[in-house]
Amino acid sequence: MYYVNVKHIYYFYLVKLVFCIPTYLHFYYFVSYLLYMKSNKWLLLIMLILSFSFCFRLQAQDDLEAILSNAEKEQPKKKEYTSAAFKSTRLINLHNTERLAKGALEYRICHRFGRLNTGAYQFWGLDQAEIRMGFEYGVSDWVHIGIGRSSYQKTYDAFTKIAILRQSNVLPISLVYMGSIAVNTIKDVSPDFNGRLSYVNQLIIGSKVNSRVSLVFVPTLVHRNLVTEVNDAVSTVALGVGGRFKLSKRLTFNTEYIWRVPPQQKSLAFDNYKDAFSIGLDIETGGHVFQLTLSNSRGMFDKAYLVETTGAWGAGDIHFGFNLIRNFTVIKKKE
Amino acid sequence: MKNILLIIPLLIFHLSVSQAQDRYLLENSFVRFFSDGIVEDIEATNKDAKGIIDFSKNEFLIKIPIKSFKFASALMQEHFNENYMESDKFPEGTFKGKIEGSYELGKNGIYQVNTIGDLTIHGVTKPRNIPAFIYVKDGKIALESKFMIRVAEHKIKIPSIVIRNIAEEVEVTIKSDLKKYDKQ
Repeated sequence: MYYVNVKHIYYFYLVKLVFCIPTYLHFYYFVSYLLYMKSNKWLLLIMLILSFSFCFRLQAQDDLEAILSNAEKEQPKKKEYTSAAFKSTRLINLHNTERLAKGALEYRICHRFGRLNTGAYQFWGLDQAEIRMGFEYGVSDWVHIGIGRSSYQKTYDAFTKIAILRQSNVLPISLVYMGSIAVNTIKDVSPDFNGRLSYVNQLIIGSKVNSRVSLVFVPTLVHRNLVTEVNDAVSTVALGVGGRFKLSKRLTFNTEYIWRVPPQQKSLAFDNYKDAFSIGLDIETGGHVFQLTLSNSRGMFDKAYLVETTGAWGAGDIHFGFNLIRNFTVIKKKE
Repeated sequence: MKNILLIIPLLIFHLSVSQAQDRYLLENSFVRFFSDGIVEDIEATNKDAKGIIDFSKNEFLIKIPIKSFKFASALMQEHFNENYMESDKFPEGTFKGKIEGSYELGKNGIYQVNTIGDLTIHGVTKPRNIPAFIYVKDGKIALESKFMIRVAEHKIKIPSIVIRNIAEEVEVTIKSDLKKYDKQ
């Protein structure tokens, strides 16, 4: 009934060789063979089953690395947010998807100088500096607020950035809302307060493509309560695009371009202003980040660089500038 | 009858071999590193370490995901990952090797053993000999170890501007419970 041919043992031996089963198994086969010779087929069968089961055990993974990775697969995958898509919360002028972490306070001081094409007399623009300084704070890992004061039209501005989606190991993009309000306090411009206000709403879509490259795409709506020139539109739609390329651990190259969607009616005011294009370097030194910039825009708050850029790259109306950022940890995280 | 007498020791041999796989996984692990700097102390903790120990062969493998180290300061954490550990490139620190020394998992006690193996951090592997403790209490097993890592040994560069802030040697503490793992 349980007839086993001697051939089977040879086959088995072959399988054993192919799968490189250790030598101490020979013992089993030797005993099996003896049993076969004694025609004790019952015991022979038991031996073979035992051998087989032993075989399968041995064929199972023996490498700790493999066993550990299998064990990890059984665990639910842990969500891990992508970090450090950019060195700073601004690409150059444009907000990117990065926000301050909870409890982090940032002091940001920015300068934009005059035009490079003004020559040696103006020391290539360095004689004429515009400034914006501001404080920013991370309310939570999702909400970032900031205030600032610019010398351009003596403007105060405030903004908030709220993360809607954060890039992680399960989601390839971040989505951030940025809303800002600015009020100019320059004399003799607008008789009433409302006329001094401007608003910007942005959706920032960004992705850290890899450890070197991060990209942003920023649909924007700018609204000014009062425009000073005839035919200028109070509301402008703009699209910002930009990205960074990491040159080394502490140095990145950034660029951004803001395309203003032209109004349906031809507007001289719109044409007089230019689309802002900027390039820059982020240099990180411990607690500081220096952003060196070259741009045809001199504005440092949202409305100014989005819709009131006056320079043209082709004419050499390029402004050198820098952003200096110092980060403080106000509230330490508890773990 | 003679044959049965022959088969009994064989069965015992078989069973003893198949049950000898004494594998345990790290559970509730806790890793801390501490740098005693001149200007400031730097500390980070990590609860995501994974590992497996095969007591039948005295082999082990421990993996620590670098990005899971949590710092009090978010900026420090970013710099740790971006500038020092380059955790996109080298996502894990690992320690793989053998346990030397005597211990009895069936008997309550604290056993000091030696672990000998390869410590890989920042992509640089160094042979290390690290003492560790195995705690056994009422069938529950835990381990603990504390050791120093020389930052320069693993080619982690510290720029001269912050060299006073970061110690040349950091202290690493690892603690974990062990959970029996029966699957293949």
